[in-house]
Amino acid sequence: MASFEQLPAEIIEEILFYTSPKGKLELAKVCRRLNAIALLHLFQHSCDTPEPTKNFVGATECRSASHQGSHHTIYIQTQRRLDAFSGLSIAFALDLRSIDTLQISMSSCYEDAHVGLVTEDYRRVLHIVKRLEHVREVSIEFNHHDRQLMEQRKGIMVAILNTILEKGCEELTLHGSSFMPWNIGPRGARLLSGLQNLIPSLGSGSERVKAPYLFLGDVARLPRSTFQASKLKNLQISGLMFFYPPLSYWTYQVLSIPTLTSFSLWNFYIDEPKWAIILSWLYHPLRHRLLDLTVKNYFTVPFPALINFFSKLTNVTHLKLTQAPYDLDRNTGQYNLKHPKGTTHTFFPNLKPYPGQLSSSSESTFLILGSECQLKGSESF
Amino acid sequence: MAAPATQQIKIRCNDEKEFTVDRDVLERSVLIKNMLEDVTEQQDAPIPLPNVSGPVMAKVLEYCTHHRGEPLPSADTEQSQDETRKRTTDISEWDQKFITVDQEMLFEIILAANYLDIKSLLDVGCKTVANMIKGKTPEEIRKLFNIVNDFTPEEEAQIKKENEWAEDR
Repeated sequence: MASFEQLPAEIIEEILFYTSPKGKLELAKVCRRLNAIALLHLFQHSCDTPEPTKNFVGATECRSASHQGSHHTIYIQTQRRLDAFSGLSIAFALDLRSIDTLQISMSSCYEDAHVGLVTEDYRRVLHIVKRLEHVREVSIEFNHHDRQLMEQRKGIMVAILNTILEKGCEELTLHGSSFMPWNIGPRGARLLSGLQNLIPSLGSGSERVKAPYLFLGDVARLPRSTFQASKLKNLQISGLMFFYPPLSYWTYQVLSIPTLTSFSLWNFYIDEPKWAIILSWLYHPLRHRLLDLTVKNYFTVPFPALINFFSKLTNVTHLKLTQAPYDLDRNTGQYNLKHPKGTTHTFFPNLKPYPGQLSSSSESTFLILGSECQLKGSESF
Repeated sequence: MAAPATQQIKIRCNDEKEFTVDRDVLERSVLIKNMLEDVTEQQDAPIPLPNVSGPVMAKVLEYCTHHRGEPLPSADTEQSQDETRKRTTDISEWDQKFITVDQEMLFEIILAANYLDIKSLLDVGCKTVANMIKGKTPEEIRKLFNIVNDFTPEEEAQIKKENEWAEDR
């Protein structure tokens, strides 16, 4: 005769559609089979919560856990407010040992009142990350503009990144934008002033600098030993960034990762002084290891030192530069860079276009004012 | 236009019990509907339903007869329903009465509805089970459905620990 235990998983899932998140959690404690079905369901459908409880713990949603072959992924997304029983709380109960891909998206605009709650979310992400046995690929998106929040979560973010690197992450994608002054600490300041001697345009080596892009801040706060010990092969950073001297310091950190062979920067706003920061890479002793470098959508125009920089990256076989859209005003010689939102900004009024083609090697194609620049396996051009 | 004379269809359950039913009643089952559409020529052999027993089929037919004539959910509306479905556990009065059966029969009906692909009946069954679970502790649920706790003491402690912080807020 039929019993509850004979119901196939698909029917139990149907029943779960009519069960509150709390009810699902209770079912998960009944036996192993229900544990697996109920928790997965909670992951997948926690946004459907029919009756929000009075416990809003700010914005946590674990969207789904998918198991495909050997790659196990969790997505954690926190874009709306859900009750305490959904989302990240569930990730606690799941067996996370087989997860090797993690995607976290925590982008939202919170009111001040929720800062504490969001900080709590960051803590939960940290707990989840700590429970992973090994993680190969991590993608994190954090967009927050709340100053108080940024201050509060700073240490936690560093701990998250630290843990991810310790767990053997090979591919890391960081995306986001936020603004706040960031304290780079005495070591950062020392490094910065060292660089400043090489590149005067870097600005002052003050400890407290404006670091709008928090990832850079967070990454740069990681202990150097963590970087050295990490297995990072591929790093991609994207997001809107404005002015951040710590980039140079941070880049030093990144380039000192022994395994790193691929490095991408996307959606940069870079003008001439900031290119100077990138130029600082060329003084890095480990630069020769880098094989693949992508700088995409940078807003800049070329200048000779830049060309010089690329010529020094001896091992780069794939260099991709994608220019942001711009107009050249033929009458004034001004570049008007098109802002993504459609407004037009004028940079470098006195800069003349660099001669389109530079080559001493037939291998290289380097059209600096074209939409894409490529340099292939050539040491000079 | 005169409606065509109602076609009678014979079905045979796994206990050899046979029913002769109006085609439109049977067609609430998407499984049987598709079967009938696949067969063009009139055939007298009863449709075998190896997964359903006579008493359960009688119950299912009672449901189908009561709801005959109601529009069948199309694949499209099912999709959109799935997204907008507010997950209400409300059950109509007649269905409520209909589904007031013992636990074994309830699960048999759910399994049959699933096999025969009668979405609305499956929903009624699932909502009923969800209502039974509502507000119960894991131990109460085990007792209710006669489920064996197969967690090791360590696992139970672990689960408790992992949920603690979620529960106290």
